[in-house]
Amino acid sequence: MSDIPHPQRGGLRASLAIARRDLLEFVRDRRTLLVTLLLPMVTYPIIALSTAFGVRTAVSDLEDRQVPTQLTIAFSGSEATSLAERIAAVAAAFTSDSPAEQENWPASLRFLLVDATEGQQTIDGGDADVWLDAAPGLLAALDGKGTTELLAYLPKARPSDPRVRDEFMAVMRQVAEDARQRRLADAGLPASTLLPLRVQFAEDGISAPLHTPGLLPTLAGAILVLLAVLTMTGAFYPAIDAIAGEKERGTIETLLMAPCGAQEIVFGKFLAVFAVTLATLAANCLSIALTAGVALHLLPASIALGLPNMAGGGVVTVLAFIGLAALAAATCLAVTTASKSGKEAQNTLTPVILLVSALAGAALLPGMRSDGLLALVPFAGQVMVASSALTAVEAGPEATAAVSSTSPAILLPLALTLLSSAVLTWLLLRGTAAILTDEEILFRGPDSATSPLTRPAPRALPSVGQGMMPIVIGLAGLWYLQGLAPKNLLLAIPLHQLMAVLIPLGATLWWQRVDLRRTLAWAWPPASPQFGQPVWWRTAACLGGAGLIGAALFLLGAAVLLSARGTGLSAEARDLSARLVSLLLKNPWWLSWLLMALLPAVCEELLFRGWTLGAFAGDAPTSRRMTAAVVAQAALFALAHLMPERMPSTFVLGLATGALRIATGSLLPGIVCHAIHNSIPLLLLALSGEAGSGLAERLREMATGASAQLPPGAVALAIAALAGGVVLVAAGIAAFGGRGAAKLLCGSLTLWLLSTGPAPAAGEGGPEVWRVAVAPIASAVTYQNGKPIGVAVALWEEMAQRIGVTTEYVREPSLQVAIESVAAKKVDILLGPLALTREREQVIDLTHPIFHSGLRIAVPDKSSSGWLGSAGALLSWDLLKLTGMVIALALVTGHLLWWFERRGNPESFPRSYLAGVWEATWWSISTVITGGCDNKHVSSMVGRLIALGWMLGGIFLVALFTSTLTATMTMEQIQGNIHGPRDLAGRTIGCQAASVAVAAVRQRGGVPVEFPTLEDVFAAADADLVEGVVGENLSLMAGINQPNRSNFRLVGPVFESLDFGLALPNGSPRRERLNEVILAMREDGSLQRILDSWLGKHD
Amino acid sequence: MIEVLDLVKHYTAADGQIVRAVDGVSFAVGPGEMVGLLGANGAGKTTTLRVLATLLRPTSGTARVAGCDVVLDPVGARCQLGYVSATTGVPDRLTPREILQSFGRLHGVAAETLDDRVEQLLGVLDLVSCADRPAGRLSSGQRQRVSVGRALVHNPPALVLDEPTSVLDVFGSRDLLAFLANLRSEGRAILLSTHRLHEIENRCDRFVIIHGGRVAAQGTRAQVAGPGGSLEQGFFAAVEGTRA
Repeated sequence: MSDIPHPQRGGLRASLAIARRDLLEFVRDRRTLLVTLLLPMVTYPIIALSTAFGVRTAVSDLEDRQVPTQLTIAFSGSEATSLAERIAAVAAAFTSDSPAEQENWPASLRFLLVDATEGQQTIDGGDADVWLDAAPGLLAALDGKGTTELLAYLPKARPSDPRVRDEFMAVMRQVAEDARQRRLADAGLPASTLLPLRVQFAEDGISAPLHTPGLLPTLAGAILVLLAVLTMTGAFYPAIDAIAGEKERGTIETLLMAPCGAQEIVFGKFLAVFAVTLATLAANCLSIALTAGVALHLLPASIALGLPNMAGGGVVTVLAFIGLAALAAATCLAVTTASKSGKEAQNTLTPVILLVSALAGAALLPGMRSDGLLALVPFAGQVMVASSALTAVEAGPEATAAVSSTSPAILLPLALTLLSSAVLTWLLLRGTAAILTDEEILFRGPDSATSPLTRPAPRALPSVGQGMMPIVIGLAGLWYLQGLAPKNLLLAIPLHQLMAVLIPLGATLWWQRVDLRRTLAWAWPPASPQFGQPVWWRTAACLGGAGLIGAALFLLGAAVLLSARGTGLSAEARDLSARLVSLLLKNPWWLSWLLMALLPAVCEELLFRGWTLGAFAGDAPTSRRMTAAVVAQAALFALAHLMPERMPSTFVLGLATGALRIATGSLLPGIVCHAIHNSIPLLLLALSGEAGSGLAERLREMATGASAQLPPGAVALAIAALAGGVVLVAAGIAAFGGRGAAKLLCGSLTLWLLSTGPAPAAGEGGPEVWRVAVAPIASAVTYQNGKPIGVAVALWEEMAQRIGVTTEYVREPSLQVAIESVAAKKVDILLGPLALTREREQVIDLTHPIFHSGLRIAVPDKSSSGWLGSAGALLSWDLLKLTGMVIALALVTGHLLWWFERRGNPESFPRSYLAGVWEATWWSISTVITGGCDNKHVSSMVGRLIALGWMLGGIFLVALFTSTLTATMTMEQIQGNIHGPRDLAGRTIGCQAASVAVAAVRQRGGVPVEFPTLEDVFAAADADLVEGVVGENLSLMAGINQPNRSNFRLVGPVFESLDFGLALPNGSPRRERLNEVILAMREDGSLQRILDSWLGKHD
Repeated sequence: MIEVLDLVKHYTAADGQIVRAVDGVSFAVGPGEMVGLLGANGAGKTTTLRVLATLLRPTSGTARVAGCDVVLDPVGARCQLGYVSATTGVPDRLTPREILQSFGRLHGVAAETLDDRVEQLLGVLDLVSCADRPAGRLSSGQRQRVSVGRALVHNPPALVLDEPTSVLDVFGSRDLLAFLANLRSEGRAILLSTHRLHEIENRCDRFVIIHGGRVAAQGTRAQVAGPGGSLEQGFFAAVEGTRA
């Protein structure tokens, strides 16, 4: 026995030995090889074929719509014939240099003379496309001096071809041009009268080609998602085999007996699974490359081809996906380690893969950008980074080397996502090592796998997995909710809490019966065996301290957020703030408080600090486990808020309330802390509503994220409150001796709080009263509770204070009316702001400009707002149909399989209808998602044929999904119509009446349609009455971020640079005083501060 | 070589009840000694052996294998111990030779001596004829021998076997026990549990009978069974005595 030297211990050598052994096992498993190598080889060619087919069909549809058609015009009235002749003559002479005009010109023109009474009937019947009624004197008027109104009728009884309007307008523009020439000739002027200047560049400069988003980037995105999912699938079987399989075969204890730690075992397993996952990734990449080489020419040529950055993007993609492969391997390992058997592992991993697909798919949503912290999000980050690397515009012609052509901007996100992959993988492996040696999972007896609907036996506390369950269900609920969520927060908040928290928690509580009092820590604080029934002052100290901590955390959170990001919040966050503020202003305080503070506090605390923390901390936890539990649930809590900006502050809140539960043994302090935390913005708003004093106003701005400046006192106050709160809670739970001190603290803190209460409102200003007209102009002036608010009002109030006057607001219904009443000297000032134009200067006086801006275009965006909202776009009808089809097919296959298998194979497919069909349907879905289902075998001949058909069909279904998704997204991009000021020609555009936009639109060949307020313009665009909205940039920005507004987006650059000022009656003596104040405010920066605080800083 | 010192292991059942699986067990196995651990189902045998194998952490008390404390130095204890249980399996897709080699590497057996060691074990365990067949296609006796070989590949001075014969037929049991007797004669300490008393009646040097998590009796066959009695009678007497 002494001939063999003593064994060495553990380390990397042990991990490598395990990895080597496992790899040997994996390669002897047919299934692993199939999923790893064969599946990728088949999938991509099929996707390429079906996508090419789908896109071809879609594009040819689109091209059909571009083809000129015959245009038939019906004429009636006394001058019908001569008008028709005139048009025919013009048409015959048509030549144009403009490609747009040529494109819109009809293929041929046909004329029809009808009786005026039959006109509508003729076009409704389809004999003609447009009907014109030529009144007597029409032609004479056309050749005269004024503008002739001509009504054109379109069919009412049938939809007309979308091209009719364009073609008709093209013809009529030519008629107008012809009339213009005639008028010039009549006046004896040469045609060049209207062409005073023609500018040409001396030589052709080299201009950068416009980057049009083509099909390939979209396709690349979809392929990347698929690549992510298939990479994960590659880890699926090896991971199950590596740990759950070992448990099932009874070999796990031989590994645990090895002379090394659990970490080395897990690391060895990880290396093996990672190697297979990398092989899958390589097989996938190879298949993609081969498919791309073969199949790219199948795509229609009219689609802009070319990923601009193939080589560099490829390198980035592979790097990012190596990280993803590691993460996938670690995730699968963690899940299977928590399972006792292969079957259990498979049943748990399938939903995890779905979750990963959802994450990866989320990366394709339009609002997702890789340049922020989103790159850190597992599975989504990698896809995002890879897709932006692939679609990034080439740096320049001189950059030829593969890596140097990769924009350096992608390197940071790449580093971030690799870092995130590495850290998450490490954490998962650490966790897996802990789970691996968990005695309960290792030795809790045979696998008692039952139907997932069967309630498990009651437990004292939920397991860790069960702790996460309601959160996962809740996130899924949120995902589905976002499509249907009402815009009205009054409904949305309770619905949100219901779907994301109450229903998942309720369902989990029903499913797993636990000791509720212990799990949820439902007791008066401080609840601990050493106290028995808590004394009142201890309870009060705990609750009071918790409240103080909550208040302090809100202030500090806001302070940190503001100092870190300034006012540059994301659109979602700004939108949410705006909606919350309007909710507060519109409803009684108690309702807002109930919705914003109490309801979320109770629901979220019950879920996160009650159920989840109870599960994570477990029975008699060690202090390390308690810390880990508190941190983990806080991280989940932050993640569940889905808004990156809010994650740090919610994380800290989660930490604090979690620590409170652990420290006091009760959930109540956490609820109080959370409720107070959420109440602070309400309180601040209430304070500012009554006292418009400086501090309260600044706090309000801070609370709504409108201001980057923090009252200096607030931070100190918050820190003091935090310290006080901690001391109070500590006193509450201190064993003895703290009693007197705590009472003292209680009393003094209360006194101190009372004495530093809200300061009384500032005194009134001077006696002079100016009448100030206000008209609704988007963000500049709106009304709330009958009071005008907005940037213009804020500016004015600052000015009024400096001048020393008080204000009497005169509310005007529209800008038009307001301008008239200024002109008529009914009011002293119109807040406007109005663009400074010569035309206006003639009727009214304008002050110095208060800000500089320009016009912009907004178009209804039927697809998306932020990245959350845009998820709805992907839920197209086609996808829904497809999903329905897949479910129906899975059900049918399930029934068939069950029917043929139930007799010979009842252990896989039970005889009873519900249980059997459930198992068989689960098999079908599991097979499509994971490429095979391990835990059931199909034995009958017919059953195997069905199974084979379904497996092959499954590949097609995945392909169909991907190509439908791609085609949907591609069409969205192709069909978008107005992209900038150039596209205004020929479009009906909504503008605010009397605004400078009207002239600007007309000047660009568009048809301006005027509405009294910007609100009405948006409403009209929403109802498709106009195709877009043109208005002042900032007003539009504010307008599209309004609550209750369906989606609009800004397109194109700011054009028509304009200065905006306030309006006064002509010759007003007040003009000079205002100008002085404006200049002073500009110099001391207060003008910019007010503008920034209302409109945010925009580039 | 193997010392179990006042070992206590409690579980918390799913319903929150505390189960005292092992409640203060002490015994020792010396070098060159084979000790039988006897007990009814649920007596605490497996739990005791799992604590020895460092698969479970004791609630209190401890155990030592060749001087290494299983709580303070579990890795050291594992180096000194071979462990086989009735439920220990072998990887189906690997051959006996591959299994022994991979575990040899895992246990840090030097590469130059590994092949010799594996061939020696295959020979001793009569596995040469099936050394290159996947373990999934072996008989249960052969698989159990592979398990024993796996437990011996790092040449541990102590061997713990938890009902190693329960999956074997009478021939398999006889061969395995004979093999274990050989190991004992090499100077190893062997602790095995079983409830087939007659199989080990004449093979073990001493017996430890546990019941309800406590040692009901221990000693040589004569001490446990009483003069002239069979081991079975002694076992019943000890167990009933605890119960009374």
